[in-house]
Amino acid sequence: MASHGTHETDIHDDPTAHADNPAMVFAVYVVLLIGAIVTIAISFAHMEGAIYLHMLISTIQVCIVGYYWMHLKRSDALTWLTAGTAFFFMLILFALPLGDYLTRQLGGL
Amino acid sequence: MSASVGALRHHFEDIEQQRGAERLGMWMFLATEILFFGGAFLAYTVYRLMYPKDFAAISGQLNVLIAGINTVLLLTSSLTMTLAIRAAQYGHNGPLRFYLGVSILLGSAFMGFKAYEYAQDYHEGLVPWTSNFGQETLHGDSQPLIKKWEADGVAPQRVRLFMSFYFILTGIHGVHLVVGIGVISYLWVRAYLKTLTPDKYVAVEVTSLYWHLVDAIWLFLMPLLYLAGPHHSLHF
Repeated sequence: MASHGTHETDIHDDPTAHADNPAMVFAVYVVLLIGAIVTIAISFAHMEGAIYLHMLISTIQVCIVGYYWMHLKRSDALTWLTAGTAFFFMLILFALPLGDYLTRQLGGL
Repeated sequence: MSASVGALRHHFEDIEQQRGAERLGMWMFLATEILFFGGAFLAYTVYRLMYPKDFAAISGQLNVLIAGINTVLLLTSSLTMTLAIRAAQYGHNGPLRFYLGVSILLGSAFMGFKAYEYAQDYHEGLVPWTSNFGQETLHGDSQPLIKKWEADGVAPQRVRLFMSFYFILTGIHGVHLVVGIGVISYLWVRAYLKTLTPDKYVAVEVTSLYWHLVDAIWLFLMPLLYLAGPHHSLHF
């Protein structure tokens, strides 16, 4: 008969087995701060097409956050699939409408 | 090291399977959040592509100094949340409460700066649904904003559109932040009551996953809204 509620069993569990290395955590923080400073500095340079650089920096920052701080690095395939699916569908969400809006000046049927 | 795993529920084989399921559940929710914000970002992108000059002009009015400070606040709060996971895993209750408390404070400081910024926008006549929209004359200018926009070839209606996006995007982001602060506060209370034992550290981890996503959204939001146009100085 299945037991209900929690197992109060003495089993081998080591919550610290997957603890983050503090040096890694701080290194990621420094890299993210540098990215933030660079992205703001670029806006004062008045460059043409600066937005592409901004988005590149943001993408790199988010990838670093996801890989290290959100523990994708040691996540299982199902978690990667979930995260990847979200981004895949977001790409479709962007690609289809922008395919329309970006080509309207070419004339219609 | 063995531990009494009171957290293990009956329908899981072992505690690691349970923890994996908890993380996966949060990632499923984060996937919906990515699509939610993705839609809003798409709408902004479409109009920015249609009206680049107008969007760049009004973006230059926004307060980049506060945006930069807010970015540092959020990044630091993500750092402290990551360190809180480690403290929870090791059962270091004092550091756990410290890191959770600092995360709450930094998130609250972000909202405080946002409130100041919104008030500043109102006084500068940049809130699109108010009667003083574009009617204020800023320091150093000789005419109201709406006249200045027209003189620069910027359409006031497009400025209104940009500012609508600004308030909706940052407002929804702010709501997400407030929810996150609430959840972290709940964890702090559990830590204070010493019910957040090491075997239950995943509660901190899944909260941090949510918090990191809110941070990640800001990392895209900030350059899109505040850095769309050139800036000339930093000021409060």
